[in-house]
Amino acid sequence: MANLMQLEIVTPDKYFIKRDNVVYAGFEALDGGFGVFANHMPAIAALKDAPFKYRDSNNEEHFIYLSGGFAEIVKNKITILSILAEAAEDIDLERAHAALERAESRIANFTVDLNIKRAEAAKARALGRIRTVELSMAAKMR
Amino acid sequence: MATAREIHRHMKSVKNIGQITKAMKMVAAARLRKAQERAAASRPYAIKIKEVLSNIVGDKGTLSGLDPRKHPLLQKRPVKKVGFLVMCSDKGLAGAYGSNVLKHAMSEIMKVNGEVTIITCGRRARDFFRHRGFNVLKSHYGFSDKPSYNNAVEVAYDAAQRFAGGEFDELRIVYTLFKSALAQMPTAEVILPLEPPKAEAPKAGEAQVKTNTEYLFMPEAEDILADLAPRYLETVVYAALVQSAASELGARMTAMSSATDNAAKLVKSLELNYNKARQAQITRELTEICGGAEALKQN
Repeated sequence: MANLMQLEIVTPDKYFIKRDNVVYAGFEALDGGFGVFANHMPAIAALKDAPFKYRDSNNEEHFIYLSGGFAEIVKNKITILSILAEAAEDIDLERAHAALERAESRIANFTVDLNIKRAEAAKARALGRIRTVELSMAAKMR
Repeated sequence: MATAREIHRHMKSVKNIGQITKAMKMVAAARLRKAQERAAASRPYAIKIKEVLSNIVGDKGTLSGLDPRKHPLLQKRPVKKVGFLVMCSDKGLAGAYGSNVLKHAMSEIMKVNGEVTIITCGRRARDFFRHRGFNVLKSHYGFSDKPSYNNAVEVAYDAAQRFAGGEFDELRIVYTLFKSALAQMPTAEVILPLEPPKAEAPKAGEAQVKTNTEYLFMPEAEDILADLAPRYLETVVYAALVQSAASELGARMTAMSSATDNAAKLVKSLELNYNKARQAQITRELTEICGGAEALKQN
């Protein structure tokens, strides 16, 4: 079929996934969200710490948490480079909530020796994970 | 000549040491396999990120419109201060691995006329340069034989900060390239300022596609580049760390293997000496008894 895309997610320690029946992919780039169908023009995007979504030819939606990274779209092939990728099913929601709380309290009790950037990055990661799981649940309810 | 008992004691200690080196060899071999797997697993990411970077840089009009102030990692300055990032092991017992890479680093440093500052990975490198009175800005350690990507992130981030802050105008990395368990090669490369990889020479057939691709950038190419440059540096550092780890384990494996062989050889020659000594003692005792009996008879 002409309107399918390939998808590859690569992290430093492994090939995360490789699919060739992707109908639609939804990203959150640094300057806003965008979606990709087949025959999209070549693009390179820098991604946010956020959920990434794709729909395959069985009309199933999959959610994957990406810790930043880049997406390259060329000739119906999507390559995502990310330091960390986690499928919604593999995310430990409790841990993410705990991490969120920890990060928030750290930011709230600001002290001089606090690495504020690191705390905020931790918060963004936790939020991203939680949103990934929530989105995935919502998609399953439908 | 040493007595039989002394030789026996020596033999026992040599045997024990042989057992330890054998165990260390096997541990190193197992870890080496893992390190090699990790090196292989990290390659696709490194290749891809290089490709994306060269695509951005190769895009028409991107480079010309680049504002160097926005990209501190790409900034070329007159080189007055040179930084060295030297990667060595935390522990010894790896044959000539440590001294080879440190020697190589020294010879590179000697070539520089200007100020030299050093960042080290691994305790051995830190101690080496501290004792020689170099300016060691930062020493990372604790992960020399099992580097994770996060370690590379830490090292790269620290180096990038210092480079942007003007602590050095050029950063060279000295690490050991893993060829095989028997051959490792100390290598030095300039990693900062980042030299964007040139778009690869187009292969036949592929040429048209490559040059005609024009990308849509989200956000602007510049902003992506600002994000991508540090990531790229991380992969470079990670690759070097992984290579060094594999080299360290390979060197340790070979060193321990030859130590084990040597112990076996030593035990053999000690055994010979022990038997000789034992035989000499028996002979001596016999002659003493015979001599005593003769003396008694004459009375």
